[in-house]
Amino acid sequence: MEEVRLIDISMDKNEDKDESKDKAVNLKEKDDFEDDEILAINGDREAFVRIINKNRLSLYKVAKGMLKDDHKVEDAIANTILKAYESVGKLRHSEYFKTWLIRILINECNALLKKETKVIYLENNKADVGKLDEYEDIDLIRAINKLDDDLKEVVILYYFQDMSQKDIGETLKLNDKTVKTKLFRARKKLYEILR
Amino acid sequence: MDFDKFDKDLKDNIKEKYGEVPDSVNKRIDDVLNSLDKKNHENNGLNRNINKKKRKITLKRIAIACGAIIVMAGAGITTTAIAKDIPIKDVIYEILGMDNENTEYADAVGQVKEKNGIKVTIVSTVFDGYVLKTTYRIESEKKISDMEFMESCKIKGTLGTGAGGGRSEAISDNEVVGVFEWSFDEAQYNVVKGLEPLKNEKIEFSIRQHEVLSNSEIGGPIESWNFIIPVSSIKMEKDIKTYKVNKKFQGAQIKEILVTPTDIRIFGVTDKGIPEVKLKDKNGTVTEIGGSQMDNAGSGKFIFRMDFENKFKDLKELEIINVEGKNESIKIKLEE
Repeated sequence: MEEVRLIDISMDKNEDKDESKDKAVNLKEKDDFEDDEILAINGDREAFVRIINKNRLSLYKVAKGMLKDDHKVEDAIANTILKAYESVGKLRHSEYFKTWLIRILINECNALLKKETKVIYLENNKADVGKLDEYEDIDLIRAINKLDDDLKEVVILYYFQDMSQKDIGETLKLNDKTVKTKLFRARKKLYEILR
Repeated sequence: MDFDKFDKDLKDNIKEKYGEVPDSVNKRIDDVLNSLDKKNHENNGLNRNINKKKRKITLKRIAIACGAIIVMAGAGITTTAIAKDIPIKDVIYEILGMDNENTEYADAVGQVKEKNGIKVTIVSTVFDGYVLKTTYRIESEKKISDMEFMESCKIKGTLGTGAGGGRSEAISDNEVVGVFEWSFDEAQYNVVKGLEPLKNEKIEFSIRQHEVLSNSEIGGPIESWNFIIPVSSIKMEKDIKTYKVNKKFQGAQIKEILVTPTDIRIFGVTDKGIPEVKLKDKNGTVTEIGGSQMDNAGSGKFIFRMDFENKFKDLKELEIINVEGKNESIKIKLEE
């Protein structure tokens, strides 16, 4: 069995390889951020707010990738912040803060998508058709929404969040091989739709 | 199909189109963040509130035991105990409802620091190499029972990455005692080498007083008392037993079981999640899971640790029971 060095693993978390150049420059900021995570877990509201502020764009990109409607994007992010704040004290690993936050967001988006599916079923798809023109970048969003849910999550994290396959595995609790397979299938399907 | 080009084009396209958070989303986030104090108050979400909940549980215990006014009962226990020259660590364990048998494993610390008329004493530590329990006492001439105190821990210069828990109790207006529990990631399971507990270390332990806002919510830290504390698992070590297991259960490979006088820790590797389990011994005594943690070990594998309170005596065999689905179980003989 391969040797595992836990300290190295913890240092790799949430760090994409191509971001390595920024690591040294951002070291001080990273330390402060990790301090914020510890403080937030220990009940410091201001630290929690700082973490959310640093992750605004990440939250938006994930929600936007999964949901078509901007109002639902706002709802998903708002619910995520509230749920995270309610349960932050239970988080055991501060270095997984962002992964944990995005996992909550994905769950929220999936919950909203389930509701959306029910509404569409009841209204015989009319509502969805009528709204299509309101969405910008409809081709991309529509292409992503044609993917199965499990592929969609991998695509959002890979393309919108620019996450490494390893980090996607951590976020979605999948092994590397599964992530690779899902990404391959999703990429092929996206290519077919978008070409 | 050129996947690399496809990926790059798509990522660039997304970066360009979704490079900024729209004003409407920013405003909604601002609104939610501004409402957090109120929400926190309503939802009892943070550790501070967990501490309060635990205080209530302790107070209930004391009230049942003494059948008297809660604060008086708490103060009474302290006064009596000190008068009889019982070490303060025993007082803390007694008040917080911890098993008195385990106080023999505590290392006395006795470090004291005073600021702004508030004296903080680090009383003792109990350490099994994985989880550190630090007991402290805060005293002042002024009323401190309604103040908010929080703890944090650093080891080897870095903040601990596991979240802390614990219990605290105001035993009078002028005295607060507490036990803070901290789990060290660095001491986790190594797939090849097995257990690597910390043995003799120095930790930086900090107690911070936080501002209490008008609506009973907590503000930023206003004072802190910092200590460098030696911690050692030597006292506990002689009674810690490690059992090699290497058995599959519910998609997880259970590698080792560590039995300490206070806790049982199960270590293993999984490529799925941690199974939801409880433990049972031959006498039918059951202990529920107290906590668990999982870390990526690479190649799709995760190492995990599950913690249970050790309620067993003369443990020879342990039954691990899945509490989900069909209650499947596995019996493991504990042989060194």
